[in-house]
Amino acid sequence: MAQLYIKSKRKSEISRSLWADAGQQLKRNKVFMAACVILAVYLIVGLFAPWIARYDYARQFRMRDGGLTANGSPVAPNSRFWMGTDTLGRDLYSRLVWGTRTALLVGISVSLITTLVSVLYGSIASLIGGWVDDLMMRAVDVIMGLPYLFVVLLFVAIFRTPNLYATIFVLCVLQWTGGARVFRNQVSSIKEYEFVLAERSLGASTPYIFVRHIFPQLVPLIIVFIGLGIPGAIFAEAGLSFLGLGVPPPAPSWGGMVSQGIGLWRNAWWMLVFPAAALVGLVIVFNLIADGLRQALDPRLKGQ
Amino acid sequence: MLAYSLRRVFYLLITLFFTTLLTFLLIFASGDPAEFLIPVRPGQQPSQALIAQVRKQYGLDQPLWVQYARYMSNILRGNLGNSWYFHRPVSQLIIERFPNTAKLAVAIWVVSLIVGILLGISMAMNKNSLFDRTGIVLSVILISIPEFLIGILLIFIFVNTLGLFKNVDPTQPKTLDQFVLPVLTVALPRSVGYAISLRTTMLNAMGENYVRTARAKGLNFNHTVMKHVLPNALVPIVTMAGIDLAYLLTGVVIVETVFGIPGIGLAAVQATTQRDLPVVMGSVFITAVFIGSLNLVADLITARLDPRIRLEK
Repeated sequence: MAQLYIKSKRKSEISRSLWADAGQQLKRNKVFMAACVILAVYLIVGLFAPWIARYDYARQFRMRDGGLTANGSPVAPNSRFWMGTDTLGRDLYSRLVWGTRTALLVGISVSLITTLVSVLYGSIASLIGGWVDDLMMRAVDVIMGLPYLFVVLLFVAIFRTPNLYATIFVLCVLQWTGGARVFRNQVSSIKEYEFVLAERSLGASTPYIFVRHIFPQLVPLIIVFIGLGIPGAIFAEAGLSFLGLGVPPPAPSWGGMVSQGIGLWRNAWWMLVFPAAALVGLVIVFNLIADGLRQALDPRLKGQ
Repeated sequence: MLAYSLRRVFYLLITLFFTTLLTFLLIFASGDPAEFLIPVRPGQQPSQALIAQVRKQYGLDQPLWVQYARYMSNILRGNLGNSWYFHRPVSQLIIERFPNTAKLAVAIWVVSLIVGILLGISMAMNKNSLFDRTGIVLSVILISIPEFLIGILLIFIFVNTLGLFKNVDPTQPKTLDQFVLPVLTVALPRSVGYAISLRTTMLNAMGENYVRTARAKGLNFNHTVMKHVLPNALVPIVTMAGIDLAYLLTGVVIVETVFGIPGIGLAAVQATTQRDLPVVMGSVFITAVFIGSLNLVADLITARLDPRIRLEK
C-alpha cells in the first residue's frame, strides 16, 4: 500500500511539465472538450464541403425546378431544399456548407499569418533593442491608433478584393499589432534570464539563442494567440462581407448571406436565421476554445 | 502633468502625420491615379495624350515629395480634395456627415464605460452569486454575436415585438430615442467586456496586502472597495477603452449601415464600392483625428487616476 502511494506520487511529479499540466487542465475542462467536439463537426463540414453540399453553391434553380415560388420569392425549407432557397433560387443548405469552408479558411489563415508576423516583429524589435526597438514599437502605437475599418476600406477601394486571398490579405494588414506588442514584452523578459546570459557568455549567437531558448518559451503564448485570433478574423470577414466588401459573389460567405437575409426576414426567415446561427455558433465555439487555451497556457495568467 | 500632456499632444501629431503619409503612399502603390480620374467605358483605353494632360492638370507629373507637400498643405487648410463621384469637396461631405458619427461614437463610448464599470463592480462584489455567473455566461454569448446581428435582434425585440421606437426616422437622428437602439447595439457587448475585465482586476486587487491593511484598520468592506480597490482597478479599464476606440468605430460603421444613419461610416462604405478614393481617404483622416483626440482624453484621465503614469519618463 505504502509503495503504491509513493509510486503514484512520483508519477504525478514527473508529469508536472507545462504541457502535461495544460493537457490535464484542458481534459478536465468540460466546456472546452464540448467546444472541441462541435468544432470537429464544423471542420468536417468545411473540409468535405463538396460531398456534404447537395448542389453547387452558385446553381440557381428556376421556378419550374421548384427553386422559387410562383411569384418568384424564395422557397421555405422542404425535403428538396433542406434550408430553403434564397432570392436567386440557390440552395441555402449548400451555400451554408460552402460558407463554412470560407469562414474557417479566412479565420485560420488570418490568425496564423498575423500571429507569425507579430512573433517575428516583436522578437526582432526586442532582440535588436535600443532605438530600433523604440522606433518599431512607436510604429505599432501609430498603427493601433488608426481607425481600423476605415483603413481596411481604403485597402479594399485601392486594390479591390476580387478573391478570397485578397480578403485574407486585407484582414492581415492591421491585425498583427496587438500581438507584436505582447511578444516583444515577452521576449524582453525572457532574454533577461540567467540561462540566456550563460549561453551568451559561452559564445552563442542571437539567432541561435532565439531558436534554441526563447522561441520554445513563446510556444504556449503563440497557441493562445492563434486561438484568440481565429474568432476575431471570422468576425471581421463576416462584417466585411456584410458590408458587401468581402468575398465577392457568388462565393458563399455567412456575412453576405446574413446581409441578404436582413431585408427579407419577415417573408423568408430561413435566409437570416440559418447563416446567423452558423456564424454565431462557430464564433462561440472558437471563443470557448481560446478561453480554455488561455487559462491553461497563458504565462501572463500564471500566479493569478 | 503639463509636460505629460504636451508629450501626448506631440505623439498625436506624429500619428496624424504618419496617417496622411500612409494614405498618400497607398494611393501611389495602387498604380497611376490618373487612370482613376479618366472616365472610360469598359474595354476602352484612354489615349496617352489624355493621360499626360490629366497628370499635368492634377500635378501628378511632379516629384512625389512635392505632391505630398501640396497634399499636406491642403489638409492643413481644410481642403481634402473633391469627391470623384459626387463632384463636390470632401470636407463638405464630412462636415455634413461626421457629427452623426461622432455623436454615436461618444454616446457608445460613454454608455459602455459607465454600464461596464457599474456591472463590473457589482459582479466583483457579489462574486460567484447568480448575478455574477449570469454575467459571465452572457458575456461569452454577447462577444460571439456580430454587431450587425445584435442590431437586428434589437430591432426585432423592441420595434417588432414591443412596438417601441416605431416612428423613428434614422436618416434624421436628432432626438435621443433615435439613438437608443444604435447605441445599445454596440454598447451592449462592449460594456459586458469591460465588466468582465474590471471584475478580474478588482478580484485580483482584493487579494493585495493594502486591502488587508485597510480592512485590519477597521474600514468596512464596501468602503475599502470603493476608496482603495476601485481607483486601482479602473486604470487598466480606461486604458483598454482608449485602445478600443479604433475597434469601436468599426461597430459604428456597421450600425450606420444596419440602421441607415447617414454618418461618415456609411459614406465611406458607399465610396469604397464606387472607388471614390478622396472620400475614403478623407474618412480615414477625420476618424484618425477623432480617435487620436479621444485617446488623448483617455490618457489624460488615466494620468490623473494614476500618478505613476504621468511621472514616468
